Amino acid sequence: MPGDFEAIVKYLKEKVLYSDEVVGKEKEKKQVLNLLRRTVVDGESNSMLLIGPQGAETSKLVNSVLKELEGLKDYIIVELHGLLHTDDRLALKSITFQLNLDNAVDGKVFGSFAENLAFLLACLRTGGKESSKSVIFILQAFDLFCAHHNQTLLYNLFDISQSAQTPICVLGLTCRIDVIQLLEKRVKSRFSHRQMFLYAGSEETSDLDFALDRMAWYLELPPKCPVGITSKARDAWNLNVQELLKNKKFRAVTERMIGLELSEQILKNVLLKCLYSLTNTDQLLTVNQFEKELESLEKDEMVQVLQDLSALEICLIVAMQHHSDIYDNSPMNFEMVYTRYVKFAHKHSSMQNVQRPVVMKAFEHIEAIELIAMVNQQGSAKLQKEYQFFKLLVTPQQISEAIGKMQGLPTEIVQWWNSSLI
Amino acid sequence: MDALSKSFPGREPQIAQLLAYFRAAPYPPAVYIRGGPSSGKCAIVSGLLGALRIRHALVDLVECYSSKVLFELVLNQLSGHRVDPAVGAPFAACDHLMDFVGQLGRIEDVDGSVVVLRHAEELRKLEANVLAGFLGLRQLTRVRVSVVLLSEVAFEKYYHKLNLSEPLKVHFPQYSMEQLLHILQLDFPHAEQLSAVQVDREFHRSYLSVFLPVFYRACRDLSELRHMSRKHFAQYCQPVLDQQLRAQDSLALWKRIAPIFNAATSVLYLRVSSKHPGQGLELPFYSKYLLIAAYLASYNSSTDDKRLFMKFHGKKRKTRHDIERKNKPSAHLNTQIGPKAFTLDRLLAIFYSILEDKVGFNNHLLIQVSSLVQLQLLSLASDECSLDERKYKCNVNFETIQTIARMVGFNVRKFLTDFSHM
Amino acid sequence: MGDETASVSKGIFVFKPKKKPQHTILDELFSENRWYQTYISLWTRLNQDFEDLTESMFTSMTSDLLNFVKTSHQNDVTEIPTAALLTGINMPDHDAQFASLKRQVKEDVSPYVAFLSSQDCGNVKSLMEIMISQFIGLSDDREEYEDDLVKNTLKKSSLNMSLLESWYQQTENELLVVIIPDFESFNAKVLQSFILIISSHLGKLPFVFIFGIATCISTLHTSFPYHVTMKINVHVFKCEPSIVYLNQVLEGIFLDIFCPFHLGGKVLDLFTEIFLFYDFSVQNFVQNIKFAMMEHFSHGNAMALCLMEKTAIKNVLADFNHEDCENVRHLLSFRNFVESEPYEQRIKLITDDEYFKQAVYDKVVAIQRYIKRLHVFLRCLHALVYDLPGSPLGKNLRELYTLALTKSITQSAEYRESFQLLEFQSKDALQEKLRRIADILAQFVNKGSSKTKLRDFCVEIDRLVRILQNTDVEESEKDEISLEEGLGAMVDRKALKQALFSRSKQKSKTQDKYEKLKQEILAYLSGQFEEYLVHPSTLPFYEIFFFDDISIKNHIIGIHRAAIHNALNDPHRYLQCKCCAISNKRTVKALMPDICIAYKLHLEWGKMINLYDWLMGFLCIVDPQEEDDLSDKSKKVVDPHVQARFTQAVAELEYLGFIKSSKRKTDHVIRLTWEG
Repeated sequence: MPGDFEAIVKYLKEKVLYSDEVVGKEKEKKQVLNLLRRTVVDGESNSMLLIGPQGAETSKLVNSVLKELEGLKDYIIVELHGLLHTDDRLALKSITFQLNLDNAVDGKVFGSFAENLAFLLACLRTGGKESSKSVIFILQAFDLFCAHHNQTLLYNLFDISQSAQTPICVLGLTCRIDVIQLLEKRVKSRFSHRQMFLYAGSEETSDLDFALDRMAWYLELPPKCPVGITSKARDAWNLNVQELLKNKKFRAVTERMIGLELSEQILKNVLLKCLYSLTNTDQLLTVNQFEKELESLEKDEMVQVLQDLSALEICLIVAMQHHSDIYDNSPMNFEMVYTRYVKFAHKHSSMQNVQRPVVMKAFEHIEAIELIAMVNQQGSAKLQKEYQFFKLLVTPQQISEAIGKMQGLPTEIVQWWNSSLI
Repeated sequence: MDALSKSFPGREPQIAQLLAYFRAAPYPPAVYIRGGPSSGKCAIVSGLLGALRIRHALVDLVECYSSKVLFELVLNQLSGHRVDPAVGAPFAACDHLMDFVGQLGRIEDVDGSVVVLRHAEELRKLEANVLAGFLGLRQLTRVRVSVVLLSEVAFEKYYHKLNLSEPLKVHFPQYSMEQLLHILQLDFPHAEQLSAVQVDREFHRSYLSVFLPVFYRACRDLSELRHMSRKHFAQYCQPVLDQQLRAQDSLALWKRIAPIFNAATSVLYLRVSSKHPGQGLELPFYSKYLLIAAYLASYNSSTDDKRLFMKFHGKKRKTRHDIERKNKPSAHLNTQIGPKAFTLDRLLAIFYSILEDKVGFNNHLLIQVSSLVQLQLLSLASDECSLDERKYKCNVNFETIQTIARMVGFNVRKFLTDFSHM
Repeated sequence: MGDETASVSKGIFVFKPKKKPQHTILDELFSENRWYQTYISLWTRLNQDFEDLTESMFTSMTSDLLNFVKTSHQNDVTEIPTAALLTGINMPDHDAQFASLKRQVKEDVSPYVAFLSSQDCGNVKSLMEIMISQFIGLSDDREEYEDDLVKNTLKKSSLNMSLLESWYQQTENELLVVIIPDFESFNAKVLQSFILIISSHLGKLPFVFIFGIATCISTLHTSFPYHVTMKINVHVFKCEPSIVYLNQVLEGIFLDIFCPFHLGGKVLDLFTEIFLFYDFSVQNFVQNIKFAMMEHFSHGNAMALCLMEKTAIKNVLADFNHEDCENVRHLLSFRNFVESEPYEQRIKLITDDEYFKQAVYDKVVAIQRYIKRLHVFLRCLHALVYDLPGSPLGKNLRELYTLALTKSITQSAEYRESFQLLEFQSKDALQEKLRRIADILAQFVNKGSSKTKLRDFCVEIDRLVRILQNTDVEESEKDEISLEEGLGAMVDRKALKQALFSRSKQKSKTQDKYEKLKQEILAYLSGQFEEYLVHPSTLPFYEIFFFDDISIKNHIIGIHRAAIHNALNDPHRYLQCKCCAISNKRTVKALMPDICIAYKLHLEWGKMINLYDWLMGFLCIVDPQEEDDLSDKSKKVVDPHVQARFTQAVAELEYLGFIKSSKRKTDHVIRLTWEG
């Protein structure tokens, strides 16, 4: 049924892209939940770092914990992101906004960051001096906050969490394992050194099984049918998925993908692409699709780029590679490459009548698509284009592959290339 | 979709892939499209999004000299805001990514919009968080906006300090010769207009089949090829118009047009039409000598000055250094490595020694040095502010200097150490 | 002032500056002097003519360009239409040219013109802002104060392409023209980004570029990478080369019968040399002429006689007082004049002012006549010799003038050579040239005027032209007749041979006739030239009209090092104060300025100068005290004032670049310049 099919695909895409569920990791969830509860209920200040690979697993975990926290006593969540709040000033603005204290701050001038933050937190005192609302600070891309000037924000947050002021909990999410090294000494001393590492997979299961499990989790439709999908369609789909996962070829393909890299992000991308390539005519996932994806993962982008070049540009690349071989990878400039090219062109009539300005344009194109990189020597910015030194960024293997795959390349160029590979 | 495929022959796989992505919600959060110049990336993407009636913003990053301009442009287009010329206010003033993300939420019905960014490689020149932010927009905001990046540079060049979310990649390979032939044949209506004589498609096709092999060697860029083919079609038809040849004599027509093609390949990409043939540089008398002196100063080392320019320098003993120098490989010739800096004193010394009738040292000469710098024939190699020890470099190439030297009857080769041993 | 600013509450009032006529210092100092008045009236007229000529020349040159701009967007364009105007490297002339171009474009093509100069546009942001503000009309060079307060609320940061687009929809589809006069001075990357931005908006906004390129068109290609050159469609236009411009300026304005001021041969040579060898700039040439004029007129009221109308001369002379007459008597040619007069007249000339004035009047009128004839005959001579092989007398009128004013042209070798070459001229060429001379004469000579000599010449030329024409006709008739005759009676070879022989003799007869006529014409012309193209120095009081003082070379071609050296070495030259006058260059006087004393002292040292010794030397000169006890020298107490003066002098010398503090030896400075 087409309606079913569309609904299935849509549901699965949503799941892969936007699902908020976390599988497993119960122990970790409990730990975090306890920590937050202590802050909210008991008024105890805390700080913690969650470190996990990219793919938003860590933030999903926190989100699910926060959901469970709902309904407890009054608390406020302040979310900051390292990419957005690149500056302490911006962070403060956002904090003020999220604490709904814009009116209170309006018109006031603060001497330092600390004063400002203290004022904000003091505003949260509800009624008596004793009790104030607890605040949970969630800092995503925590490692980027470490790059702020003097790490003022972090210092102040951790300071407050150590001192007996407003009860706050600082949760830092990051994907860098060495994030502790990034903290300054005074900031580190105020940090509670509580770190949680969220690894993908576990030691018991093999990588392959783990990957297959993840795929199963994403691709299988749950027992409780989502809207618009008949149970018949659902069963057919799930059957297909299970057969696929047991297929030997499929497992081999998955192994090879794991060999390359199969992080959560890449896995999701692979699944997405396969889901997107389903059309009304082939409604079921097949091994071929995954093979195609593997191929594209294995493909070398630079070879593709090289294949798109014109014959003149390939000549220049070959000339550059020859020069690097002879002169032991020392930097070269356009003049040298041009001289070499002219020598070649004189021997072969087909390339003979191309003049210097056109060769220059071909060279500029090569530079624009970044197959070469300028070497910054002193004062090179003022040097003319022809004399600026550069290095070639593609390897001989890539060039060989590209030349092999290109169609319609004059044979003399191929021979010229091969003549150097001896 | 068929209309789109028809107007872009050879792009069916890419169109199909993009259609699969954007046919139904949810769209992929980030897509990266890489393809050569004029391979149809932008045209196809905007055509597709238009046909699917998806709200989208198309921004060319070359225009965005600061991130503020980028953000405001995107917001203006997504919200459909028209800038009032009297007031000049954008939809919302955005200085940072934080503001941008916040404002995105304020636009009505923004879920399911797409932001298309051309020349995406320029994103790397803006602040670091802009690129990471656009690719990972999903994590920064609840709003569902997809981002499509168009670029000629491979994605692997984008990896920098921050972790980037992997987008889905689409590759637009360059057209092969057959595809180009097919596409250029679609140009027939335009060509028909250009030629004064009655032509049919077959004639046009035979023209293209002789045109392409010549130009394909140096250039695979479709728009350039199209421009060139239009430009020369009239000349190709000329013999038929003059009734010297019939339309079927393709061999004879080819013979006529071959020299024109050969000349034309030397001016690829250079769109200049002038009634006057290219003329050289007209300089006053002393400026010519100053320029020649500058060239000699740049391309000779100062140790050779004494020998070259003074009359009584004594005999020079042949040293091993000289023998080595004679056998210097061409890559180390001064004319290949580029001009070196020289001081004003050295310039004047050489100037006086090559000038036959001596002129007193006066301010007009100094002004001429400055105006040579202004005309970019010389360039300042030292700091602009320090008047002490000013250093210059000569920007003129060998052919031009030869022409100028011939005008005053001066033999430049005699004075260049690179050639002086010949 | 009072009423407008009276107010109950405090307020700020805006006063627009009224445009006052520009008064220079010179005007204030010299406006009473008659010579100044003459100078000013002459110069303003010449300058105005120069600007008008520049304007008209440039206008005619750029008509092609304007046509191109007007029609550039008629068809749909995918690239930005660009006009590359090759202006030549004479950059001082470009300002006037581009100002005129801007005005023309505004009048003829479109009111939306943006003029971008490289100094203001260092990066893309400022370039866009300036361009857009010029289009929208926010620029400051509006003369009237518009009450449009609304426009002024546009912030600079909001000036971007989207604003331009929405603004453009309100206009009536006019072109948007961008003029960049100094292409080479721009940062190439900025221009590249600019072109890319504009080309992506080309669909909605019809832009046209005009680039002023000083060197050659290949600069365009080397500055831009391929993806940028693809976006512009360049048409090349050339300006007149500046030498043509110069020739037109000189022939039209300065070497003309209405301009009384003439440059002598040497000065004209000097200016031409500066033009050809240094900068190709006509603006500078005209400024040099102005300087020469100022030098000339500042000689005194004698120069007030430098006018071309007789009645004006009479008036001026009537106002002359004794000093002015003395001023005229000081001219060198007066002495020769006096000596050529008989004895009684001599005394009268020297003592009697009225008699003198009459004599001056006669002679000045004679010079005026001479000048007019000089111009006319030189032009005729030019018409004769301009295309001779080898150009012994030069190709331009300017070269002819220079030669004529340097020496007596008719005695020169070049003149003789030219006339020899003229003897080989064919009949048609000679006829053509004579006709040209007749045309020139028709321009200048009023047939009914009383200038008999010129009129006679005019008449004579007409007659010669007619004779030539008649011989032409006669000859051709004769030829035909003889041909028919000869061929009709052909019988045998011998008869043919004889007939041909006789015909050639006839031809040679006609040839002879033509030769004779040619010789006659050339002799006549030569005679006329000899009579009228004499060197001006033969006329008394010629200095009033001809300026040939080559010493202005030092002022025009500056040698700053020599100037500073002279100033420091010999301050009397500039200060003209009696206390510093020295007879010998090496003497040092105590009353000279401190820096001069320090400078003169430092000249005596070698590369390293010991500061203490220098100070002692300085002290000796400035503050010489009797040395009672020689042994006490070392314990001499230096007066702090003197030391302060010395330190300041040394600091100034360092600032001027004569010395540099030495890192290797303390208390020493390195001398950086040497004489020679």
